[in-house]
Amino acid sequence: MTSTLSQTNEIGRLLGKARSEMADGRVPVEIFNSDVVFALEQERLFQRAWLFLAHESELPDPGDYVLRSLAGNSVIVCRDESGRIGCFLNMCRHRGNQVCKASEGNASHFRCSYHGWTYANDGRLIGVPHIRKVYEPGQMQRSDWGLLPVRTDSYAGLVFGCLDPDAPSLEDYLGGFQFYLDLYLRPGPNGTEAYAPPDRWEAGTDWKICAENFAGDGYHTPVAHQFGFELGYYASSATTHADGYAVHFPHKGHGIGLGRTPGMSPFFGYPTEVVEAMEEVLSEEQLSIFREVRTAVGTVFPNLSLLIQPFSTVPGEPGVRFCTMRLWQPVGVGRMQMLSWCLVPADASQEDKDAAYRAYTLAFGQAGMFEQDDFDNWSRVTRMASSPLCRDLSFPYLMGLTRAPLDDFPGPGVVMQPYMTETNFRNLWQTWLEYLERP
Amino acid sequence: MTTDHAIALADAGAHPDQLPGSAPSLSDGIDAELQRAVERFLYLESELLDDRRFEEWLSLFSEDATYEAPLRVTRDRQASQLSERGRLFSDTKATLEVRVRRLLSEYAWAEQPPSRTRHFVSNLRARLLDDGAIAVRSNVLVYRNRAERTDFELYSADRHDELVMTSGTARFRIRRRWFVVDQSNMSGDSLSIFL
Repeated sequence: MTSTLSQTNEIGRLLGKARSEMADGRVPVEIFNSDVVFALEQERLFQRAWLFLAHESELPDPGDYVLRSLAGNSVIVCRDESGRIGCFLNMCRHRGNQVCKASEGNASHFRCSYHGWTYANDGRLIGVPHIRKVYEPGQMQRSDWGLLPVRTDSYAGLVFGCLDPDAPSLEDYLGGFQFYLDLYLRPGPNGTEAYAPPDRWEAGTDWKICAENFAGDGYHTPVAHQFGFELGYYASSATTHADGYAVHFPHKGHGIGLGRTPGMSPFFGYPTEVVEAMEEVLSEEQLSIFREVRTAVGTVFPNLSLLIQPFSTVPGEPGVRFCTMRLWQPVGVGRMQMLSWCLVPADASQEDKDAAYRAYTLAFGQAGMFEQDDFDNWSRVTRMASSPLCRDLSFPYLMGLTRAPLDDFPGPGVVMQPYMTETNFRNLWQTWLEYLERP
Repeated sequence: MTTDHAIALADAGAHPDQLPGSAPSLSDGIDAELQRAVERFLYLESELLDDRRFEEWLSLFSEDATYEAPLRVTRDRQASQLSERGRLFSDTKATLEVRVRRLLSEYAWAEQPPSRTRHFVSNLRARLLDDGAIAVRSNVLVYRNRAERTDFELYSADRHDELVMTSGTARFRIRRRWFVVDQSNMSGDSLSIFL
């Protein structure tokens, strides 16, 4: 980012204010809709963090690809002929045209439609038209001009990419959060699969509002989704909805809310075969926690979130567990593109997978009843955050500020009670600030 | 359904984005009177949606009705642009009823204040099915605006309905609605309306 002096001053003012406000459990309103923050996030956060790219099940066969966005770059995520998954900038090295135009498909190679340079699905440049006539012998080395590769790594089927060569490994980056991610990603020996391509839409919402909400905002549920309680949807009630835990990982930014309903039967809403498969692969500590979780809602810093929730397609029917995974991608100031998947246990029966997906479409996705209410609220927050009067205002993040964490919880991380708290969010903002303060 | 002077408008192989068995033909077994009745029914249905008379709208669906919208995906060349399994809506009459009950509650925040919608239905192509039901393919354009905003959403869709005849005043019930929105990256914060 080229900075003029006034921009530099504005960045200093904003970061200084964020630091002093956060010390008192507050977060400045203006960060939720600011061109300075947007540019700073692009440079200092999204260029450095591990960002989600694709689920391995989206690429089952050699040649399968999906087109994704990584920190504003169009990238191809592709399984090559040897079965390895790679990620490449979607740009012909000759004059910069996009070599892939579809959002998914299968291809042995990508041929540029401008001058015809052709790349294998492992990124190698394999075809340069008229190479012997237009270049001197030895002048054009195809090996110098392959598609630009992006560093990738994966955990439990999730492929991530990172643009910072000096960033720690994905394992370090996740930093113990895998213990909780396993609830979503390892419901059996074969993990999960994406049931269908992601729902995609663009909304006038700042991505951070969503990432925060999914880091464990049990507080909004009884109000924002009040219809769910009114229609008898939930294995919970407004009075018990605060029960449970919130877990975060300091300086990593990850956080998860674990809502529980007193008296709920263990593994409520899971098919029996999935419970047996979970018992096969998860540790005793994991099982002892997950057994009694009704809602698990978490964010992998910065912008990937997951939710597991029992949901009845018709109120009064026994609940079905569905899992949604979503990527909140900033595409402009106060604007984001949403990618939302439904993950199903690979070891579940087809019937159970279908039932979970139906529940997902009713609740989430652009036409999902829960999703609708969330985005309506979030876009209004975003609009207000750019209002001139907000420049001096902050939001309170005081819940749990002076409360001591649990010391006898069987899982890692800093664990707070109850489920309704704001400790996860303070950690999210603290980590966000640490990235933005690093030049 | 006569086939004598059938004029095929497309090759025998249906376009991959079409419902199976929906290859267009001018020989459809539908006379002008029936065509008009189908049009009037779909106009009435649109009116109920635009006037937010959702319970009456729901009563136009048969008890075994399905309401389904595949996801669009951007794929190359002749590959189908419809997701095989992905759905924007995957509803039955029972789940549509839940959506309607929600809209009638005080807590459907995405519709508070309500969307202003206008459904435009055109290019009706009806044909008689073997069991006496009527398959109707139509183009649908839906305008949606909210609150004091000047921007709006326009959803264009390819809609396939199956109507069964009844003795009631509406004359038909919808037993199947299947539609595809002509967008793979959707606009609008949420899709809190029916198409």
